[in-house]
Amino acid sequence: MDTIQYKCPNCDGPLEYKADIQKFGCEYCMSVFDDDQIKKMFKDNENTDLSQDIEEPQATDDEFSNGNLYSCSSCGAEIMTDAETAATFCVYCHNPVILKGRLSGSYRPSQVLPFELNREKALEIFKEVMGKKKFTPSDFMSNQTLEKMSGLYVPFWLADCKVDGSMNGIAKHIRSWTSGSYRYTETKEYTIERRARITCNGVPADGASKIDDDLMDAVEPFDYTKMQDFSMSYLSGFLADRYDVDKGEVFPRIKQKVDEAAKTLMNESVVGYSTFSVSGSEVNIMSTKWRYTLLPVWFMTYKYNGKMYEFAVNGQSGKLVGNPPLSKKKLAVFGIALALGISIIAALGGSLL
Amino acid sequence: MMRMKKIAAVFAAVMIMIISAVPVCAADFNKGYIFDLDDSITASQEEVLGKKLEELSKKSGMNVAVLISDNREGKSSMVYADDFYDSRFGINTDGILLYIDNFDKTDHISTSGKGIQCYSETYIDYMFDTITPCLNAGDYNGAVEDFLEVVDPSYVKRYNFTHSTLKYAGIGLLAGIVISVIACLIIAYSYKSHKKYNNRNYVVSRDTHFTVKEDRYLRQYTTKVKIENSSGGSRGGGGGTHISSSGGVHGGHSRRR
Repeated sequence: MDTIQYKCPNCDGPLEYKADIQKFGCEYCMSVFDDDQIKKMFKDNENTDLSQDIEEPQATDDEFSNGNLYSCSSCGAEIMTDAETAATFCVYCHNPVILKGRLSGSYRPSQVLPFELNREKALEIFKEVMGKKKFTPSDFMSNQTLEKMSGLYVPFWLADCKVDGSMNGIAKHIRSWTSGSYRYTETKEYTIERRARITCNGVPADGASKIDDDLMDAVEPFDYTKMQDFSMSYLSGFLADRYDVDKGEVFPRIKQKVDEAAKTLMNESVVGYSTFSVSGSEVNIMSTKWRYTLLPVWFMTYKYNGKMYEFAVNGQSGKLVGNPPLSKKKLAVFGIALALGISIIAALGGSLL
Repeated sequence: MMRMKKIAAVFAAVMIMIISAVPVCAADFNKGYIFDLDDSITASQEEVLGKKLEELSKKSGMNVAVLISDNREGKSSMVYADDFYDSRFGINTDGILLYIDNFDKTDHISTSGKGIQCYSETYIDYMFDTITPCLNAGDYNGAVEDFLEVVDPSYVKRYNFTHSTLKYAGIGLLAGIVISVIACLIIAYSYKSHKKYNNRNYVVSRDTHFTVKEDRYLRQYTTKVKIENSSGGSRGGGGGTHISSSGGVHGGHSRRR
């Protein structure tokens, strides 16, 4: 299976998509090209093997049977990847490599949201937010950890749903006043009925099994107005995966989000009451239109005490999510120092009294 | 002339005899700070202790005195000790008196003036604890020596310092542990938060509408509750000192051996 590499027409260096300028740049001669120029220059790449089935190598009986071997067209090295990888870097010459044919057929995304934040900006955000946490392990913010920050296009299913929602309950309007030596409370009860036709667009669910769903939910939202029609060139300089969780499998997560959205909308329409209690509600998704897209996320992992800590930065908005590791040792030292400090202050205060 | 001289000489001689016959009974009441009314200690012990008490009194600026007696004149130990102090040293002067009672072994420590603040009731208990072993063994000299050690205001200061410091350090440590545990829990909790996106934002408002939006009146009812009036009162109280028969304010208390 061949690989695609986007090479500079001036010096043959590797071309990468630069998030900060939203254009393609050459690593060696610093030439810059925009979208249209790239599409014109590399239109052959887009048309190659897109309608054919992917030819997978024979599975072998060793530990590499789940991976696949490809040749780097820059240095000729054999690159090993797993089945979902669509874009990566050659481990030898570090040139970006796009695996031709991985994103073809039903695996071809309809759209891609290009990165708006480059690696430096993502690291800046990470250092700023995580730097405030004073009880993380000492090597958490080390260069060794920070250099693991990688830009990945995460395969996402976006659902556009037409929904029928209904809700009913009892709302109360409560009024109280004092007269003489009595306190009066007047309660008026109303039955509430709501039925709505709701449209929810762009409800996301990530299609990669190896990426934590909660982490991807937390990194929302993305501004879909900046979406581009898919072109492999955007992947150059980043990692990319194709989906391995089908839209049918992600549907329950979509349903849960749509459910929540519809119920919140209907609840919000009950106004002017002191209390409202829901006696019944129903949300039915009547139709779903699916879009398979690639959304930009900067990832970082950190292992501490046998546990893996994952962090994600939205590659468009810069929103950082992830729980930092807590160094129990540092916390214990702080706790003991605080306890001793308070007892010394109390002892001194007591002897002065 | 000769006759007048004779009369004068006889008169002078008689006067000298009378004057020299008057017994010097100042004995027990002119020693200053130690009053051994029932001869429980020897004269030499009395002299030594008297000097030490005088020195301490001068150094501390307070009257530090010891009274040993087996006759309380029908009064309680407290009244007897308070009255004795007031009559010897004046009312509301600064001082402390240890009364060792050989009548029914109800000893008493009486404080006056600055002595009331200097020696707390808790400290007076401590002084009794210190002197009781010697008293029980009948060693009055030893008991007064022990008293001299603990009655010294600089000793009191050191004692109060270590005891109150330890007490407050203990309370402080407990409070410190509780506060630091709460602080640590709050910090650990803050490292676990997960902010979720509000899914409501995926609703396309312009493409959403209600087909049914009804609020129907069901019923109404009114309840009433009587408002209770409560009044509180406060009581005050104080204590620790009492007034003696001569009008002086005294602190201190008794202890039965």
